[in-house]
Amino acid sequence: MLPTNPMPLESLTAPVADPAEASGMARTSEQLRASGTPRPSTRRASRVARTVRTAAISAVAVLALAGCASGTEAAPGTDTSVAAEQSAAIATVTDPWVKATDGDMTAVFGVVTNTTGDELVVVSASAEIAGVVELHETVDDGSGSMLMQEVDAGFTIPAHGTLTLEPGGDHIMLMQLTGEIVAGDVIAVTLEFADGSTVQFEAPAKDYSGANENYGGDHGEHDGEHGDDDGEHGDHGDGDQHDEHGEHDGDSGSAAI
Amino acid sequence: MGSTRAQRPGSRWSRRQLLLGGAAAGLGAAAAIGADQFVRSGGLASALDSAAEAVGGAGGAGEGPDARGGGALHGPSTVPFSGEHQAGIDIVPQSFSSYIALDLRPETDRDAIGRMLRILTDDAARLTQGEAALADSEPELASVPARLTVTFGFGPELVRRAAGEQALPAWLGPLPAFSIDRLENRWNDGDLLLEVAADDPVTIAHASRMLLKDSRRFATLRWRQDGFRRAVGSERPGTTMRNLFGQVDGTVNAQPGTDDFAELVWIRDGWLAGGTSYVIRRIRMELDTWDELDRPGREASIGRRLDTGAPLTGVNEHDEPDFSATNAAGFPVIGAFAHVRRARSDNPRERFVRRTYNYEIAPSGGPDAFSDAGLIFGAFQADVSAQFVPIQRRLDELDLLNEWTTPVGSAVFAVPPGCAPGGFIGETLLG
Repeated sequence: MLPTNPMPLESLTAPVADPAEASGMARTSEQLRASGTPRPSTRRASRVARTVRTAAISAVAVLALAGCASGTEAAPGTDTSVAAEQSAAIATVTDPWVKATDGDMTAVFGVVTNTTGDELVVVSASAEIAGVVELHETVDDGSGSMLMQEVDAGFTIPAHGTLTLEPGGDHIMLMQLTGEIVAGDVIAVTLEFADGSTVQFEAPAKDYSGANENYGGDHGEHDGEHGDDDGEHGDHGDGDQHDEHGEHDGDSGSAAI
Repeated sequence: MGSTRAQRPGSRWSRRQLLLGGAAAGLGAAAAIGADQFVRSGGLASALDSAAEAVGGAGGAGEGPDARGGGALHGPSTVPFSGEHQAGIDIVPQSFSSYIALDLRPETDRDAIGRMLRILTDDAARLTQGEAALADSEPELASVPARLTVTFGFGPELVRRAAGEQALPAWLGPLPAFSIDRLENRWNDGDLLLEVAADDPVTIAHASRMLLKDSRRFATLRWRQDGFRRAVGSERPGTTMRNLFGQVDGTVNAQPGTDDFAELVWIRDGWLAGGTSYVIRRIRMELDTWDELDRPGREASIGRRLDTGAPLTGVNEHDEPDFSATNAAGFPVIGAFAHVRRARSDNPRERFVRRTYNYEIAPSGGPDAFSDAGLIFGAFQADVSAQFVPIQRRLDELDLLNEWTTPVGSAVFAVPPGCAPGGFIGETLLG
């Protein structure tokens, strides 16, 4: 008599996962049988486990405010709180996470999926824990170094497409942090789209040794954000990272790595 | 297995499919003779062919995932993470297992323990399904799960910090001292156990590194014991393992999926309901002195034949030993000192379920030492004091095998129940 899972997995509320993941589900059930390891509801459990995020700190988009699910412009004066109850999420965020830090700034990563049939543009983001939030891209400066810079035009996500925020690539920068972000904390972040709609998600904090890009002298000391990486400052050996931090008055400019 | 891979025309299931299906195909003939001897005798090939016809009937050739005997890859196999019980317990043991014990840092309080367990649970839930963890810097290494399981165990200090002294089960703590023990602190105890097991050691390396990276701010590494059994594909699934003495090891052991297993293992009350206890002892084998012992002496020390694992009074591995049988001279066939006699008691409650792995590491005993090997002896039971200790005491008092084995490490952990998706291991303790 094998132990059974008393919790019907389908009843749990975590929303649909990244569609790109769904195709990977089917492979497990055959191999489970082949491995000779009988477990009740294995097939169902393994399938659902792949579509449902399996721990408390995994988060997906919670809701979208404003009635722009169809992609049409919201009428001026639209009551967004009413629209929120009616509209479906225009975008979902899967596998979000934020790099833990005891410094002044850090980055948020994850996969944003546009669930609508129209292009979406993320124009800004906000988080209570950050005084300033910017959208950043990482580009090759032509000499082999990676350069981080603000994306003024925002992130464009094609219809039914995805935007991947990852170390070394596009990401959301949280700056002027009001407190330490410790591994295991959960940080609420809001994405703002061109049409005024927003999507909120929660990003668990994890220790991570990478994503050590230097962000500029004017936004706080450089040392703090590396406090958690065991002194590994490999990305900063060049010595040319503290250039181009001249003008920061109300303008984040660009930060060289 | 030297037999050919040819499939008999007309059989629905290829031989290899049946090999992978193992017990499900009901290879009773192989089980009766026992262990790997059946393979060597060539009996396996013909038995599988017969079974193929019996199971599949005369269906057309070419059905099933492997019509030509090439075999589906094993790497994609997964074991579900979520459930009433943690994974990695009620399971046919994987080929490799790494036992990792961590000590909590002084500043890791109840809140930090909760954060740590949420992170580690999320890592384990993803990695065991063949998905990269969050912030996984080598996501490609996560793509071959190979039946990965991660099983968490709590030492007394973790339980104490999480929920106070009153949450400790009576048995949670070091075992009583035994005269045979030569325990070394470096292999003892621990606040948090992670057992990372899989059929592929690269999978284990990646998963354990991910878990350790995420543990680092909360805990330090206390010890790590890496064990191995036969690789997948080497033997028929379900074959009792052999230890490095060459003995068939684990014949009498409640099988995964049985009522007996559940009855012996699962705790029913309190925050550990759905969990169990885990005793992990590192047993060094004195192979150099074992070399001095001839075959009859070896068989006498355990009370079983070396070739089949059958008791000295029997023919097949799973024959019941006859402890009252005597030889012509009137002496018991299975000696009073034999391990198989000493390892059981008249009280049926004094039983546990074993999960054991061989180990071998670089020796440290000077230039003449060239071997440090033995057994990572794991035991699951609902109550350590009632089920495990009495047996260990019997063995401590008398067991000829003690001449060639030395316990050098001992640890006891409380294994919490499983969790549902969205939960975390330890939630029943932390509330």
